[in-house]
Amino acid sequence: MGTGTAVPAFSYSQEELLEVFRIEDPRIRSVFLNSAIERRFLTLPPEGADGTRRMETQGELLAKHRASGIEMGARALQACLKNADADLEDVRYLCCVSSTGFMTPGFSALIIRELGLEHNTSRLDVVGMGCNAGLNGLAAVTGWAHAHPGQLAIMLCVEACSAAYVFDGTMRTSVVNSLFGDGAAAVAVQAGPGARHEGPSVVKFASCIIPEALEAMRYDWDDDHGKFSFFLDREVPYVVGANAEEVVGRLLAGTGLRRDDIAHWIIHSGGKKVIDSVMINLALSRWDVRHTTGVLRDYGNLSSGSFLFSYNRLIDEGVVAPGEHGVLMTMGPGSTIETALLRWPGGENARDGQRREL
Amino acid sequence: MASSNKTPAPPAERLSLPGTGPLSSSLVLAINEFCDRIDALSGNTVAVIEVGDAEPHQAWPGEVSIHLVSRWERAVRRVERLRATTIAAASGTCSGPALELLLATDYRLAAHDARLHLPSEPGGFWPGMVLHRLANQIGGRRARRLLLHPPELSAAEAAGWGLVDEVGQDLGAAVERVVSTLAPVDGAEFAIRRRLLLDAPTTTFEDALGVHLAACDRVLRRARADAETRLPA
Repeated sequence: MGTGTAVPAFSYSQEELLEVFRIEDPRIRSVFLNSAIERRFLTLPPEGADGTRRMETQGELLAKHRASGIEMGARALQACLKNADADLEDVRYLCCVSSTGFMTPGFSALIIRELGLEHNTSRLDVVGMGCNAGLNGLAAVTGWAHAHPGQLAIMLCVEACSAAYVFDGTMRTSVVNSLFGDGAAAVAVQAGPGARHEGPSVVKFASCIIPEALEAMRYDWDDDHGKFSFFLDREVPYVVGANAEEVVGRLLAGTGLRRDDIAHWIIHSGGKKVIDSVMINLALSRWDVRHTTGVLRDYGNLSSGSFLFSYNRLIDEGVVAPGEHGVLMTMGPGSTIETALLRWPGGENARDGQRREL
Repeated sequence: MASSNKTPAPPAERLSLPGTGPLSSSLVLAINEFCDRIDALSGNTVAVIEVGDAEPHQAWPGEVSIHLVSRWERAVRRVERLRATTIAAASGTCSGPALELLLATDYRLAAHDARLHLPSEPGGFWPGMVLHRLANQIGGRRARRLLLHPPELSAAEAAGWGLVDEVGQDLGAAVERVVSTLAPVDGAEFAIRRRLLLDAPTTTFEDALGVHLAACDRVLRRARADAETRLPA
């Protein structure tokens, strides 16, 4: 597995954004300033004649999603291929994941054209599944890779969250506007012989949907504004935390592994409260979630690609030992928790030289 | 160990370890296997770690590699994070391994004859995570005084420093009494509170609020779930 990430050219601190949008309401300012986010990369609306940012139409937002998404996605894919020591013509399958806009044909076709990928590249677009979708996409990509040993499959998460903003001064939209950032992330997956990059294996996936909280996270049409608008219920962090133990239990069931055996936790940087809730319910330490909180601090919530930004930081840190296991966890609308179990190659488990076979 | 009453002894997992050094792979393995046994149990359990030795004090950790020290620290951390309440019962000579494990437990009992030998060799106090625990548990200023203290403490002195919770004549009976007291405690839920306590000194109120609210929400949800299961069908 190789990975690559990309963000737009400009980043803004939370204080700068309050200034740009001239937000004076102390309650909303407090939401921005207590978000555990320092900076986010965004494509802001154009300035009006009086220096204020003007409201974009839904058409302009969709155009921003498309243009910014192609640009970020292409850079993330190229960085990923470089990291995986592969070329554009090696890509046999491209799965693009996005929830920040809608278009047909989707990013997979647009990126193939943009980068000149082979015309016989198989493709899939995972659209509208939200922050958890990176693992839904990864399940499809690993499935394809196993069915086509030796062939290179790519998952590319492209989220232009700047294209999903509604500014109306309400707390509902302010919570969303204080949280999300733009970014794209790609991961290369290959199965069987001839794999060109020694990375971890995806051992298993486990999913959980909480239908009673189906309405808790939504990105749906707001007739008053004539736009799509994201809604995040204040119960979400607690609902996710309350269900985290059960889904991780199912992920580890039958593997011979316990939670304490997991050396690396890569959790979606959903927001401060949801990270806290997952930490408590899975008995994780602040160290365990250091990359999750670090990515939130430096980028905000990047939706589906967030976990790959954290995964990148883990790899760059250089602390993973052969034979160790990691858990990937993403959460989003549904309400949904998705998990995957990784195992790095190498025969020895870190615990006292005892071999642990799955 | 004789029980002090006639009711069946409450569930307790026990580990007996030497009270003095040197550090060895077998010591690390014994602790990890003990933690494995407790992790595999469902329901409440109390972990009792008996430490102490009739042998005279030996140097700690001795001639070992830093990698073994790292594995030792991880093993002691597992004890400190067990999803069970933990008791240390100290007697006789308690130096390196005994002292480090003692400081990682929830409740510490010592026999009158226990002598705690601080890991203070010529050249200075052993700078492992024992130092971090001392600072967190008794405060930096008092821990510094302890670093300059003669290396051996009697059980009574150790209690005075706050390193031991109880000193008794009949250690066996005292252990059984505390096990009975702690047996009803849900170890997994207690581990969450213990974690919050361990993190409290190094966490700002603002940073701590979210995890405390998450822990409160967990309690409220469990209470609601219990109430629903008690409702007549």
